[in-house]
Amino acid sequence: MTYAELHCHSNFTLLEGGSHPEELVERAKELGLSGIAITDRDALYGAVRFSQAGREAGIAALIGAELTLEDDTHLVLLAEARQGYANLARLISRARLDNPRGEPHTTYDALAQHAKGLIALSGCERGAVPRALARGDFRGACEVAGRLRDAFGWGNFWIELQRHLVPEDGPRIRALSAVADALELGLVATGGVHYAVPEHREASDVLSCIRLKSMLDDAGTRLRPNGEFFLRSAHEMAQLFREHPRAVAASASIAERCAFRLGRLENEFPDFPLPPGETHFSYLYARVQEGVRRRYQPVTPEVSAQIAHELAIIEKLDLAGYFLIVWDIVRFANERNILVQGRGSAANSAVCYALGITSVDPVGLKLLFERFLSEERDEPPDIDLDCPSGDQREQIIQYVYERYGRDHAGMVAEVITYRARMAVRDVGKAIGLSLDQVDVLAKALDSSSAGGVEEELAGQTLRADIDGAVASLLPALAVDLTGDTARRLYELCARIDGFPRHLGQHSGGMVVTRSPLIEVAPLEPAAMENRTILGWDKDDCASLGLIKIDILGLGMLDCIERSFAEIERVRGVKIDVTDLRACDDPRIYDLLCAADTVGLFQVESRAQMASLPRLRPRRFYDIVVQVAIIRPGPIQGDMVHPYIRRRNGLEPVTYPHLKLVGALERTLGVPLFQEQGMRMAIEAAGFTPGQADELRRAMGHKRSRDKMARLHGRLMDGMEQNGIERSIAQRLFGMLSAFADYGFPESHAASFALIVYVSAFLKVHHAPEFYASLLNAQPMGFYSPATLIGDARRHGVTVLPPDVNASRYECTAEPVGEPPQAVPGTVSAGPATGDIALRIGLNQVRGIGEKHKTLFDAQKERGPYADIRDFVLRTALSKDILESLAAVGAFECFGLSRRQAVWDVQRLAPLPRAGALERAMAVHEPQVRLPAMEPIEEAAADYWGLGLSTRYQAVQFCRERLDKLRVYRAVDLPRLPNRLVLKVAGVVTTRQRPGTAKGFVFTTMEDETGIINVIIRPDVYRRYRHTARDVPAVIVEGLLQKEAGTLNVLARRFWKLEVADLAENLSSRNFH
Amino acid sequence: MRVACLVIPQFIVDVCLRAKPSLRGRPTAVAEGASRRTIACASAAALGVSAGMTPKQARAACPGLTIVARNELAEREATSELLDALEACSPIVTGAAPGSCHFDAAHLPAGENAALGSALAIAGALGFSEAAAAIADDKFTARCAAVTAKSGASVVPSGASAAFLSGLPAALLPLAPGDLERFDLLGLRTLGHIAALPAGPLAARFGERARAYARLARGEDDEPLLPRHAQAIHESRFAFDGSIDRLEALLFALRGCVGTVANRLAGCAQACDRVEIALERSQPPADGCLSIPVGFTEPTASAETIFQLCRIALESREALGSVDAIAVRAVPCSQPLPQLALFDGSRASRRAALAATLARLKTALQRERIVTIQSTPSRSRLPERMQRSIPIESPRDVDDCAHEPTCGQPVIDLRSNHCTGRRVELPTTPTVKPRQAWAPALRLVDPPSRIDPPAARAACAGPFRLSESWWERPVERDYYQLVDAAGAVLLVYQDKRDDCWYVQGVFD
Repeated sequence: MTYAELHCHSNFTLLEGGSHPEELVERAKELGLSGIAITDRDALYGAVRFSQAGREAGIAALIGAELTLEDDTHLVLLAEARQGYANLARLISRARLDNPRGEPHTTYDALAQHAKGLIALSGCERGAVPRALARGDFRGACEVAGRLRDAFGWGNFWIELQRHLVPEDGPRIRALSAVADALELGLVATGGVHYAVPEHREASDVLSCIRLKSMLDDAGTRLRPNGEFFLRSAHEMAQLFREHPRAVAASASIAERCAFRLGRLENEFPDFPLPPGETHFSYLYARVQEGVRRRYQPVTPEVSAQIAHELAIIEKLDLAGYFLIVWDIVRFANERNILVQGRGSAANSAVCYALGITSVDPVGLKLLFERFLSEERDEPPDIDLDCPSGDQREQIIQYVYERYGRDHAGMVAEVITYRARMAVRDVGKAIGLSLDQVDVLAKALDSSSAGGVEEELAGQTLRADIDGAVASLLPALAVDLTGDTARRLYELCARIDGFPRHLGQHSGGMVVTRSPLIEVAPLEPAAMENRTILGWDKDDCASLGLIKIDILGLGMLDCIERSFAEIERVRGVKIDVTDLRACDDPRIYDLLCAADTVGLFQVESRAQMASLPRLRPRRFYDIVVQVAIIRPGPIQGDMVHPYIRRRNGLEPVTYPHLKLVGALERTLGVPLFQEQGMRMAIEAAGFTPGQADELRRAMGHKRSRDKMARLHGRLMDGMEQNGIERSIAQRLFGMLSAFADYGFPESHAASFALIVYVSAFLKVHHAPEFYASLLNAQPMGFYSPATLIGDARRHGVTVLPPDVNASRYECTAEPVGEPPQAVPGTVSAGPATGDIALRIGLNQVRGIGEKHKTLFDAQKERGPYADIRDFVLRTALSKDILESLAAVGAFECFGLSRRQAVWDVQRLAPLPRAGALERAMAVHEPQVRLPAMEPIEEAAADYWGLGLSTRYQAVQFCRERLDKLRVYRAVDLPRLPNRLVLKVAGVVTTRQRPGTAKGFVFTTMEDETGIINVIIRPDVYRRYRHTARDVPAVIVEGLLQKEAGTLNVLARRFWKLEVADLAENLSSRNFH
Repeated sequence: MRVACLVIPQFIVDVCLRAKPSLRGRPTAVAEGASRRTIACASAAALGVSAGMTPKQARAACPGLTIVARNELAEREATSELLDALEACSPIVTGAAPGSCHFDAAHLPAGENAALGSALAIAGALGFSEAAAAIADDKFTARCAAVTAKSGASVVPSGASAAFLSGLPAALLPLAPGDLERFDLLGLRTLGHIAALPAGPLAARFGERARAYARLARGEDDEPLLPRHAQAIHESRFAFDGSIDRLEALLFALRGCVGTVANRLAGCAQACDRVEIALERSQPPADGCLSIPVGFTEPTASAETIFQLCRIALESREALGSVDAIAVRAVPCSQPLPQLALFDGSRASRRAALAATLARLKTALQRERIVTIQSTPSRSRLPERMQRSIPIESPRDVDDCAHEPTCGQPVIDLRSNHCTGRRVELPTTPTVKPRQAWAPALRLVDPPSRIDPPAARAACAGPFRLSESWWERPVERDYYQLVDAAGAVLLVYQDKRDDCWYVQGVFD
């Protein structure tokens, strides 16, 4: 007997299904089923992965879904043909779009309208027919079954039998058979599967508890009664349905009927609206020629040839419409003065450069077009656009919706999957741990994989050789890490590692289609207004061949755009990025060489700062290398140090083979970029550019063993034909595969390098405006506002506190009379920035957010506030916000001390809601003398109300104590001898634990004089884990390391630095 | 005025440890709530355990933890005991919160320090190890002094309250939520800071409650010490002319004694929750005095109720012997008497009747067998977990249960009485339909009875597989509905964990 499982939930029936789609397919194959259908509830989220797994396993993978109907019953639908799939997608979309978020349901009328090409099964015990029978309403059951039969047509609606060994099974099956007999409907047996094997039941139960927001102890009968909801073989099903053998056989025949498979969706390319008489290509050709004349002056033969080559490929692949779509988006952005720039491999294309999509010249930089597009490539090209995050990005997204219609454009989803911390939180709560306990456990984790939770919490890494640390750690965790509860937690976390939890919206991916999108894939409303999202993630879209455009919000572009506007407002100077393309200002390169890069794009991380003084960039291409070299690929491929040595003349420049000189010359014989890997294959093995790109992708992120083997042979043969010895050829292959995995595209690095240059330009020449814009564009970058303010002060920028009359909603640059003074004793007191200061905006004050912007802007227009009473009455802000403003000194313009203002606020806050008489009444009361704030209290109020202080740094209040302990300041370090064992102290601003650093942790601390870089070895980190990881301010004893202009302290011991009331408001940015 | 305050920080745990001394020194926590789901207090040895945790969370934090149920009755008794004992120090004693007592310290003959020493000694003798005591001019100052002293005794000299309080943290005030943070922001961190502020502006900002803050902070707590209600034992005795051995005569005398005691209680506006019947016997073999305690579920001063319960208590005794005299002693309970019902049929009267019935049942049967059966169909599919028995301590328990929406009409079920073998059920119908088809007609065998595996050819339906609680107490059973030789339909199961067969119920 053959059997196909037609009712099967994967873990994309979110927080319910206990197995991945691939596990279900694999198990179905093991059991010898003739087919398996995925029927997740009101969704097709897992359909692409499921279909792909089905194709690979050679088993019929049917697409279906279990719909929730308007009467809260369930119905299973299977796509018989393409039209059925389109109808299924439409039904799910309408169910989600027409109903409140999270409560999709389908009407019977909609079912009747879109039933073509679909086969329906009556469903589980929550189906309309079984539910009527459970009420004892046989007539009602027949009525609803008849209605569904009429909707889908005779032969397309089946009565579904399930048996899970519960007492209700027998009566229900008998009643269902009677309904089928009465209406002459067919019976089909299904498993109502929720997991592949019985062992996955526990995960399913826990996920159900998470969904129900319940603990296992309290879930009771809301969990399934037993573990019988797994996938069964034909034999087992035959045993289970002994009295209905035809029902089991019917499953296989239904599976045979369902011929639709979700593969590549052809002909989904959208139409670009054209003027009359134009074709896509002719119109593109004209736009490219215009662009070439504008951007290339003069147009060299080299440029013409490259443009002709690219256009020929674009025409051949019929992609002109795609380029026009992207060009049109960029055109729209330029018209609105929105900074937009293509990133990624698109920067390899001269056509993209000519169209204004990208900003770096690929001909001048000799970039390889085939990295972007080639004939051999069977994927659509991928163009990512960077634009300022926030409102402007939204304008572009809404333009795409308007241009192509909401039926043809949608945002791509991002499937949020379980990782370590989220898994510990959710599973911990489900098994009964308290919120505090799961919080402590989750925060204790460094690893991202939920599979590593046990190793990290109970394994040797934490427990061995850490006597003191464990003693301090365990009481804090307040959980027995080796007990039964903890062990169950580890097992369940490991099981749900990578399980989908919910759907989010991708940061910028949009899909545009020719067919109505609603028939291509299910849509659903996003949390944001006016957004619809496609229920697949970007990988799913790519594997189906859908055209995707990424419109990514880049905080630094936002910052740059704000800076330009502020410079124009304050100084009357208009800056155009095109004016900076020469990239030849020596002061900017001086800044980079000094690693003075806090706040800059891409080069502000610890690793970048450490390498900048060694690489010493002096021209634009050096920045391109700088952006690309501190990456996992070059680091793991051991390419960083050879390059630095060669650049500094400490090692001769050599090449693996003379044929590769051309490819590797610019990077001194060390391959750094993906394009170089491709060029190596072209030069050494005679590959065509398209073949070279195929090699890159085969070696890339999703390695294909078969492809690799085939290409290895071809590569070796090619190299042999070019006269390269076998051993050298083998070495070259090894070199290629080592970095192909993570190698950075040169084009991408070039696009980013331009932004690095512009951000450095702003820091050097317009620091107050730059820092103000950085603060307004938060959150972004590596450093918190407090660190940025510290950096600004060290660069001689006068930082003024918030003031209700002087501040605007956002941070601004403000002309001041006195030229600013650099903070004495700072590490790098930079150039004085003239008579412009940075004024902290009211948006930085605790409790004030975007919703208050209009209020403050409107009141600013009305003129200054007369006194605190006037401010309270005009703004009618809440007491909490008024207290925050008072605490940070924003009312000092009225001659009120901070505490006096807080005292007044207590009385005035209710005034806006009082009657007219009370508001008009003058109150005379005795003067109250409140204790004046000490400097440390002012600092605490600043950190509490602003998250930063414009006047103080937390460590300065401990300096007397630290001096007694012979703790050095950051400013002292440059004059101290190398390899001195010393103590330093500071507030921890960042912690990094890169995956490529073999357990080393890089910490940045800040004291009142500057920044201190600390490196923590794995053994020291283990010993002082709690202090090094969680304590906001620390004292570190370590070895001073001075090398090539970099200063580091190699930590040996840690102590907690007590900073009184400040500690609770100090936070670091951790990148684990 | 001079007021003393005694503070026992770990009062709730100490009360439990007094009942179970073997737990001393071991990590112990006290759980409270209807289902004992919240930790109320933990001993010093219970590291990582804090109030508000669930027992599971607390055990995860402290593996060797013993959790005991909070015993509010014992706490009341302990408080009463403590107050009784403190009367040795002062005539006016009053209890505030659990573990906190005040007593009048004016004109103490042995001096203040001696009184505090005595109070601490009393607390120690009663099993409260970590106590602190202090004397000051008012209750708030005395309490602050005791709390800040943490242990031992301290005296705030007369007239020095304001000075003493000025340096103490403002958090000692009974502040409304949020006030402490605002005081902190204003730099008002001590009671002295608050005392120095003018009351009007303070009240304009923090409301009228702030005036009380200021008064307390200045050491001007004017709340008087209310004397503890005097508790006299009401006793009535009846001596027979000779010895009697007939119950009727005894009951005749009992009625008279009870009537006298009840009148005295009513005259003092008191009620009692227990009486003691003393039977004086001079003739062998049972010479001496036989004391029979009779407890009530609810305080009462009703002569009829007291008499009926005493009668049942006497009737349940098989041999009382020859009695020379009978005495009835009633100790008024601290709980004031609720307003007495004026007319029969009122809710209070019905509850009194229910209380009497329950008391009668408790006297006749085992107390722990008197329960309400709460149907919990959503709790589990296992038959034995689909209902929950809740002990009835007071008629209010029945009232509360009746008002719970999930509970439906409560079933009062007297489980099988081991003494008589009888099973008494008050006929009420659960309104919540159990999930399982078999549940309504199933009479449970509790606990399930082990049987031999049924014959292979036995007429049965099944298996129905139930597996629950895999995370804690795994249950895996294959259920069958089996027809036995007599034609009865049984619910039997094979436990998959021990492979044995059990009968769990019989279908009516």
